[in-house]
Amino acid sequence: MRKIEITFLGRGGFGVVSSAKILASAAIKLGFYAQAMPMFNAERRGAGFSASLRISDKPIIQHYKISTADIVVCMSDSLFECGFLKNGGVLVVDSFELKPSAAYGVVGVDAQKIATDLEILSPEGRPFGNMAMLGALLKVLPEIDLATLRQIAEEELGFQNAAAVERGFKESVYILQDASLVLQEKAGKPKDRFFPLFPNSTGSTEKNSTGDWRINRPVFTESCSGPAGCRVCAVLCPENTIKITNGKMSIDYEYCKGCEICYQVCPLTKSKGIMLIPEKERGIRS
Amino acid sequence: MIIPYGRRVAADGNTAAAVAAALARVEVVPTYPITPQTVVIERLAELYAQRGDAIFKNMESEHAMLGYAITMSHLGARVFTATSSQGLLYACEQVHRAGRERSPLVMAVVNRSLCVPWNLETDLNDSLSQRDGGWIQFYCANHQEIFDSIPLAYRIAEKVLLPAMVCYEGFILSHSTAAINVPLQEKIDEFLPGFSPPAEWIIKPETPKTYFQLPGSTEYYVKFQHDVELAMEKAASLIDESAAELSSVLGHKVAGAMEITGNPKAKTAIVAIGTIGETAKILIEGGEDILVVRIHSFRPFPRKLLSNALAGAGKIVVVDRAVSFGAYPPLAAEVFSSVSRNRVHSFIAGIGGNNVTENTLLEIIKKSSRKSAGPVWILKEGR
Repeated sequence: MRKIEITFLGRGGFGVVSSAKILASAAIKLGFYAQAMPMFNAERRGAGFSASLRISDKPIIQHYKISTADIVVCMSDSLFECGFLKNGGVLVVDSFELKPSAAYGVVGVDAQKIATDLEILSPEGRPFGNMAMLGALLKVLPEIDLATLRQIAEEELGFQNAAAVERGFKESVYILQDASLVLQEKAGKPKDRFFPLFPNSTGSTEKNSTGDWRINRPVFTESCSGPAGCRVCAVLCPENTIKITNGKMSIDYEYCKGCEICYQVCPLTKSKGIMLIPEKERGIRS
Repeated sequence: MIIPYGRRVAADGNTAAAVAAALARVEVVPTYPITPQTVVIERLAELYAQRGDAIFKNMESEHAMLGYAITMSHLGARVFTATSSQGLLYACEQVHRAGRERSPLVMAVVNRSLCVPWNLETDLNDSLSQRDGGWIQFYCANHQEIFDSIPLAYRIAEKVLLPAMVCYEGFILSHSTAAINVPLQEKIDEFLPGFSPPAEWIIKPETPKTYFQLPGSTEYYVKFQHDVELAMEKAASLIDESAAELSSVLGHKVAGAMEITGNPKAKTAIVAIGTIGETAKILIEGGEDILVVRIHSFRPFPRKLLSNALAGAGKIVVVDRAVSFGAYPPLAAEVFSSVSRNRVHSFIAGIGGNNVTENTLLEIIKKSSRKSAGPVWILKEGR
């Protein structure tokens, strides 16, 4: 067997750690050697997060996180950079709007739809697409068979997740790397990863748009008296996204992470100055 | 949690440590949580929750935890505990007491870097800063070694009456999942019989005694300290034979004081500790003509074995995942004490969980052709 290096990218609470662990367990059960290494920062739901996974038929003696992998399983689009993937590698994404790439192949699966169908939901109602994505990953990982992975997923997470693995495998689409795109695609050259000398431990920077974490979108209502009013929400917004533009209150949805503190603290009692509208499309960014 | 006796299973490093402790039949487990060690005591809590024959105790701090552990060990119980980083530093006073008080307890230390600034990821400064406390120290390089080192540590600790730390790197080993072979209970029982404390430790109410009071003369104090040194020497003589015995019981190789890989006549040798020592072996697979020496027992330090192993090497590259500000880092200092100094090049890499890859190590070998006045810091991963 070849030695395979896989990186899982996602956000805290998406099931990145359990995905890597379950796949490692399946590989070990099949007699291979595996190493699943999650990388934590300041842990919290929603923060960017990765896990490294190595599978081989020889004992694994490399003990460090993978920088460029053969396969990247990406559960949050905003985290992916070309530099994470070797040229000729495969990207596994939670989407059907796939574009072929000059640098890598793409496996796509509508994992969140599968999770929603099977009612695999977080306490907040967010679908857990991780097991469907593991199923999709098997398209490019023939060494691991579906039955074993299904069994481990069932032991660890229950029968719905085992069903998600199977549906993910069956409903995924593999688009091969298309080298002819190289002329059109300037981004074909993997860009170097940025290694700051003193990395920001939480990842909450200007570059890190947290808008796609939201489940509900806060919107100002007619009841809000605008900038002339209390502005309590603007003061208490942890991401500082509530601003005054053109004499009106506005919210920067690029960074609003949907914590709903503004809704909670609004002092209006009869009809709130802010209402919450469920985000219809996932990963929405206005 | 159920112990998978006699099976090859996927487990994280912390689970491996907890299962090994349970197979070593530990009787007392005082605990206090700290990342990345917490999983060890969570697993042990699951294993010990329903048992009437063991004590699992939540303490109010690491300092209290180790104080309790020392006392219970002196009462003749087999004691296990675990900590990390700031927790170990908080228990520092008790660490130095345990060694001199000769309590044969075993503590898993999941290495995590020290603040400031706060960092959860690994380096070895926490346990290496406690190296002079009279504890045996094992540093593990993979999941199986975490498992194997715990019965090995009890065996040696109880024979020489010294406490032992089983150290392994946080997240890299503690939270990563890999395959381990869990033996049958009989195998561990065969290797590690129950602990019987020395007769003079047994408390008899009819003849009351006081332990460890102010000595009548400082000469007694000196004797106490010297006895610790003698116990360390005895431990050094036991490690390799005990590891060989454990290897035959378990059916796979268990590293003794150190592990030597590669060409013993190679001109360049890498000396490292923990996972860096295992990652370095990938260079040999890649065709580099080098010798890799990985230190498993840092205390007692295998001085003679190391100088023998490095006899043929013209250039010795020491990679530390720890610092000693203003001096050479701990491992380099030990290598200096074992071989002639002008052959040794000291590097500091992987601090705070920074990646140390084969490229980092190749870069280090390249840099070692230049002489430098002190240790060379590797700030970036290298490619």
